Amino acid sequence: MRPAWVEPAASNQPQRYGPRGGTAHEDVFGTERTRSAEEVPRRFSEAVRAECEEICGRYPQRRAALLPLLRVAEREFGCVDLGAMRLVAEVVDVSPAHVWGVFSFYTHYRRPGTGRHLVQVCRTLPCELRGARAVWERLRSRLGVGDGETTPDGRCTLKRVECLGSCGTAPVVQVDDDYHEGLTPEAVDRLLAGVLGA
Amino acid sequence: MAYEPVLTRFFGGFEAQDLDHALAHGVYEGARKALAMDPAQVIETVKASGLRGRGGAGFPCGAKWGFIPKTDRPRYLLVNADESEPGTFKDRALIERDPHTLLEGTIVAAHAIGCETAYIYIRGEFAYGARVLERAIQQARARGLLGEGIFGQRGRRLEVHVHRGAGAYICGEETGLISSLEGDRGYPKLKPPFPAVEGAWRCPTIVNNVETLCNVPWVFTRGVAWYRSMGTEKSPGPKVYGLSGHVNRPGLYEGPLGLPLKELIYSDEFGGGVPGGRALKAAIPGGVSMPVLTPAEVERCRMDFESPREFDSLLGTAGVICMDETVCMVDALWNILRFFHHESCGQCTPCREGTGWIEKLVSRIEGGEGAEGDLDTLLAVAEGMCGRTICVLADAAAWPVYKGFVKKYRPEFEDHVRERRCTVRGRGA
Ligand SMILES: Cc1cc2nc3c(=O)[nH]c(=O)nc-3n(C[C@H](O)[C@H](O)[C@H](O)COP(=O)(O)O)c2cc1C
Ligand code: SF4
Ligand code: FES
Repeated sequence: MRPAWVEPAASNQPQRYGPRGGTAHEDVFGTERTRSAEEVPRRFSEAVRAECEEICGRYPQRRAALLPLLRVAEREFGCVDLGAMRLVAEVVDVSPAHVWGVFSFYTHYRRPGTGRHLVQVCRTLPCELRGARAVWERLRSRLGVGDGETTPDGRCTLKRVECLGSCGTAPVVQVDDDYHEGLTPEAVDRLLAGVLGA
Repeated sequence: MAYEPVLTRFFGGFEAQDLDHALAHGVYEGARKALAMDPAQVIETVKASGLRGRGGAGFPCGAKWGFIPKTDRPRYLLVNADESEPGTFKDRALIERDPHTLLEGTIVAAHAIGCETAYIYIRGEFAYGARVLERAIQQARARGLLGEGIFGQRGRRLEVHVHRGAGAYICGEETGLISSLEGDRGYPKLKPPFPAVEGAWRCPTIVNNVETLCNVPWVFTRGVAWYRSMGTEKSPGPKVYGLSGHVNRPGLYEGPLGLPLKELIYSDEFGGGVPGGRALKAAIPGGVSMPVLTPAEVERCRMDFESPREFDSLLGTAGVICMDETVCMVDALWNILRFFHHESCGQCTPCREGTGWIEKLVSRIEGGEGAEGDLDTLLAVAEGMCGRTICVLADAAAWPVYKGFVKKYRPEFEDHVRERRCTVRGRGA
């Protein structure tokens, strides 16, 4: 069974326009469409609560701690889900709707259903000029999934992203927090063997 | 004349992350000198140096600090480390390899504008950079360089916090950055009021780029005359140049502002030319928002804030992207427009709809389905997007179309429409 609240499978993704495919906000809409999924109640431990208070104290207003606390939730629960958003709303004292509105603006938080490793492949011009397409093709064929999809064993989610700020060592792939630079299809094979144990 | 690198002097390794190493090499000396001066004097010194912002717009740094009104409300300094303009990758290196110089510049700026809390807004992807900065801040605090009573001066304090973004290009725009810092969607706001008057939490706020602040200490350690000895009259000082795309040696290079672009791309000291002996077809001078230059223009362009204007372009972030003869200009433009469509925040109709519209048109032309008249529509839409929106992202998306690619490579676009296919080989390797 597909985990609850994942990006929709390719087949029911919005029709992409143009022969080259399109862009855009399917990521967020996809999440929204499936957000009626069951909500898991979330709680922070005492220690994490204290950490949250410390973070709130850095700003003149608590709500400014929203983005950093979503990071804390991501670290604690492995992703930012509805329960996490409700919890963060309570901590920074805003409505859950506000948290949802803010969260859905940003692409970098881990959505529920993301695999254990998140592989983000840069597709912007400087990377494409130096072979990002071949790197993407290799990753896609080795993992057997497309953009925004997760391998059936839940090990890995593959995602195409815009410039990662490392164009001088293009093409670049970010696996979780780490950058892998100057990649070739062969280097992708080594990367998959080493980092992902695939 | 041999150029002595200053901004990139620690780029060989990661030793300078360590405070002891940094101190041994004179980091924080500039701050010590600046803190001995009064704020107005610091601002005057920076004005005299002619330092211009390195975040893309080239706004004079001292003048910006001087806009801070005299009130007793808190003031804030925001360090813009959102670096997401494609082709730009200097700030990440400065943060990872020389975090203490950034903190030093932050201390000087905070002193100049009278601020006690600074935030470094770093893009979410730079998780390592955020850790490096947090450690550097802890080390500096432990030595009394940050926190309460900095540099042994009682009653003077400065807290610096790292604030991680979460993947949105628009948060690099200064008012978008402020919205994001306040815990909202990264929506830019109309100016005026300018952030210097009414910024974060409606208090006076200065937003500075990482590289700008890394320049600041040098004005104090080496002095204004030294600083002005580099670059041009209007664009003085050192600059970190980025080279990406089709060059033999991509990467970061430091040189004075005003370096000939040709030298940057071809000289063995820098880019070393185009791989495989192929010819250069186009070069973008400073991040994808800036209109592209033809090889003839590359011959004449210098990398300062004035020269690229002659070719209807701008220096931007000085992240040069080179494209060789195998690159299809339609395809390259489509890639750029997809980026902007993806990153438009959606507040303004000309931008939200326009970025999508021009992307679709170029996608269609590239795919061989372009119709007669598409090019004129494309130009009309692009020009219609400019100057009608809250921030300049709309302009940044439109410039590459009507000032750059379509204007300078129009026959290639026409060929695509006429032949109903790509008439150049596909992009890159
Ligand atoms: C769409 C957009 C994106 C921007 N992105 C960045 C960025 O990532 N980093 C940056 O330093 N400045 C960025 N800027 C420029 C900032 O708005 C601002 O001018 C700059 O941070 C000021 O710093 P400086 O005066 O030190 O250059 C961006 C501007 C726009 C319009
Ligand atoms: S111009 Fe575009 S990015 Fe800027 S505020 Fe308007 S919609 Fe948002
Ligand atoms: S284009 Fe890929 S890192 Fe900048």
